[in-house]
Amino acid sequence: MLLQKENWRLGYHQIISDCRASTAHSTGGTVLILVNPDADALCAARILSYALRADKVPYQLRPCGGYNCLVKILQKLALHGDDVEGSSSTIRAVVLLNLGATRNLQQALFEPTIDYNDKDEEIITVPLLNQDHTKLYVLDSHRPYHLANIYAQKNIVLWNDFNFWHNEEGGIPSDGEYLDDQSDDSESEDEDDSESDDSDSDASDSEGEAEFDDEDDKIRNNDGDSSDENVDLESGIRSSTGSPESKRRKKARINPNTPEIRDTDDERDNDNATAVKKTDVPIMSMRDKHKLRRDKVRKYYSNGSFHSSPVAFMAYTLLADQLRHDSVGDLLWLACIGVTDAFVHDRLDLSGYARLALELQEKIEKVYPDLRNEDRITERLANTMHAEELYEKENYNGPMTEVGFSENGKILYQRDEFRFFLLRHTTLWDAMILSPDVNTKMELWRSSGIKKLKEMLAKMGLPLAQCQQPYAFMKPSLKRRLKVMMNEHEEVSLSCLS
Amino acid sequence: MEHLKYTAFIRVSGYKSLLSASDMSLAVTALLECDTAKSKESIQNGNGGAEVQLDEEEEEERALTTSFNIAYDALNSNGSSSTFATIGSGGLGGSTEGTDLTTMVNGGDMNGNNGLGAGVRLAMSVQKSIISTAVSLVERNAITRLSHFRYAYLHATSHGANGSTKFQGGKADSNKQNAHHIFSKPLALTKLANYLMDMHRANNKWTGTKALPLVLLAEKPQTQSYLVVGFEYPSIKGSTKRNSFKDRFEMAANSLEEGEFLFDSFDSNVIEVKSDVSRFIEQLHYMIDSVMIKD
Repeated sequence: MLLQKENWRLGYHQIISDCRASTAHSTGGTVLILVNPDADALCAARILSYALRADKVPYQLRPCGGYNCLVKILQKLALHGDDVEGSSSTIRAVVLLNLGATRNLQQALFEPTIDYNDKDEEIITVPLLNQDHTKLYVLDSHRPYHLANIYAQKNIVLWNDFNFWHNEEGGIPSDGEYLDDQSDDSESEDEDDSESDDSDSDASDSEGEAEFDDEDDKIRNNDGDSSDENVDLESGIRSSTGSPESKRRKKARINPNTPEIRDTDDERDNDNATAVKKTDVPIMSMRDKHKLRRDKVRKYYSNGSFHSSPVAFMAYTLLADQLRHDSVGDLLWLACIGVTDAFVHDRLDLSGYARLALELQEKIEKVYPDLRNEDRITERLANTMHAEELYEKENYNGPMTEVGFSENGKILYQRDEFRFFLLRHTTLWDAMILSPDVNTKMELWRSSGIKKLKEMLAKMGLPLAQCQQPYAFMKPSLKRRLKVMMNEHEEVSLSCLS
Repeated sequence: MEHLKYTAFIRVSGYKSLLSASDMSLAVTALLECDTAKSKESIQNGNGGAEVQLDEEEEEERALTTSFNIAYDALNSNGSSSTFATIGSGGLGGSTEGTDLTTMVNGGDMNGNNGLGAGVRLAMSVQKSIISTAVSLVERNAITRLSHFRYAYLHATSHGANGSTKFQGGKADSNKQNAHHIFSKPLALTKLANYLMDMHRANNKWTGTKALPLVLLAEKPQTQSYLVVGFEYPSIKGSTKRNSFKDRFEMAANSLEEGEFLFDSFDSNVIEVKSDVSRFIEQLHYMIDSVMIKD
């Protein structure tokens, strides 16, 4: 199921209540956090584990680089049985960070696998996760989601940031067949029987009808409006888990009192695809509707894969906005790294980065309120670099650092940072050459480009010897000049490019 | 120079040092993707001399776990001792984890051989090979243009510098330990692709009808396979484009009768080809061609 932004904390609370050893007869459980090997996911893992530590819930962290690895880890868990600590019996929640949302997790992890041995005998393996015991929480920036995950029952929780990502292809398709976009609809047949009736409460029934009508309208108008009908926002996680029932299932169980919708047994036999006909909307045959939905699903998948908000940012939003960890600078810093990481690796475009960077700035100003009143942040930044400068003043006898303890850990933002490569850890020269932006713009991979770079630096009045010093030891006056010159000599640099 | 500036986040990380978020990101990524000799060594140390024969997969898994732990630790901004010591050694990994942690907890030490300092240096060397590899690909004309995409091979023996050296099974077996190919890691490969695209956006060579997606084929000597990654080419710098290579790869793989194809990565534009990779590329071309005609 999708858990919309407003309700993220409900997912977290579910983890806590499942895993915390509270009563005499529950021993509590462990959270298993599986992390995709990228910096953004690592930051998210650090953020999430901070909250778990604060709530005194034990957790385990494991890297997980691929689909096979995921299955293997869970297989090992299932094998170990009850005797090993941290085995499946105590793992009550599995959190996937930046992985898994695009795969059919319901089928892979919660359904038995059927294999055939040499003699063509069926071998049925028990599901990797017991859905009554363990829940799966997914925080993943990979899109599009596999639809089976969205419409899985409460055992899969997707922390979803926005629905607007899918506006282009007319929203997320409704539940039903072909969640895989493959012509095999036997799955949903099985689900009908196996899935419990308890989720079919009265509330979700009526909800289901409303949803059904909505859906029809949507199909008729081919409305591009994105849908969030699948989570009941008001009643939260409990009832919302019941509502994303299969549309098909809803049709089968539709309340016979509803005048608009008639359940005809004959029709169900004749037309195996659908069982219900809406008599007052005879505009489109069920077959056509079916085809429309099919197309919508196909479009949903074939429009290509992309990335939503970075997971570290989402994890921070959960902790800061909904779990009251909003004053922790370390967590905010991790969110900054996650967002920057997504930007550096082109998972986030310029406008997306600008939007998130603005949100982060607001949060920084809240955590470090004294920053807000300083309109000259860059100047302040220059002051914090003072310690480096002190080395140059030979006659200086005062204290060797101006970076007070109050400054330590403070996060600053700077609007005109150059896109040089690791500038603070290398020389200006190397940082420019290694920067993909400068390197490609000035063609620094040709000897002619290097010549132009030298010319440019000379025109700016920056001696080459100084530029090839470690940046930390470069003359502070030159550092300041660099900033001014880069702005003033935009023409110079541009003429160098032509 | 448009896009040369951006809003950056910087943290005062203690006595006289400033760290930018991009430094952190680059360093941590480098630590994650470089299963250097060092990480292998530390695994062996941790075993306390117990010689255990490992198959390749387990070895890869261990290497990943080690670099993961090092990278996770490096993120610890204040450099205090690590937190994963208490949590990482659960029942899952068995005895393989819980190695000697004292050697790698200096996350905040910029001069240390571990932690962030090492990450920064690694990131620097990765970036150098990205640029030199890209330049050599261009200068050798090693990027082939088909009607629907471009592709280029990256061979492990050559670091991309010498494309004519073909992979030889027996030879690779003997020095498998040393066969370290940075571009068999998806993030480094992504950076290389982005650099190549930047390069050609800047010199206007891939514009108009020549604006085509890019497919990179990186050899993975450990598993004797190729990592094939498809990148869309957004013609405007700083924008992203939805990636359609999942469908394309699936079509090509399904239509081939023989060969082993793994869709293991959670990035859907990645496929691992264990068979004749040139046949796969050929098929990819035909499949895209046939779809284009249908449309």
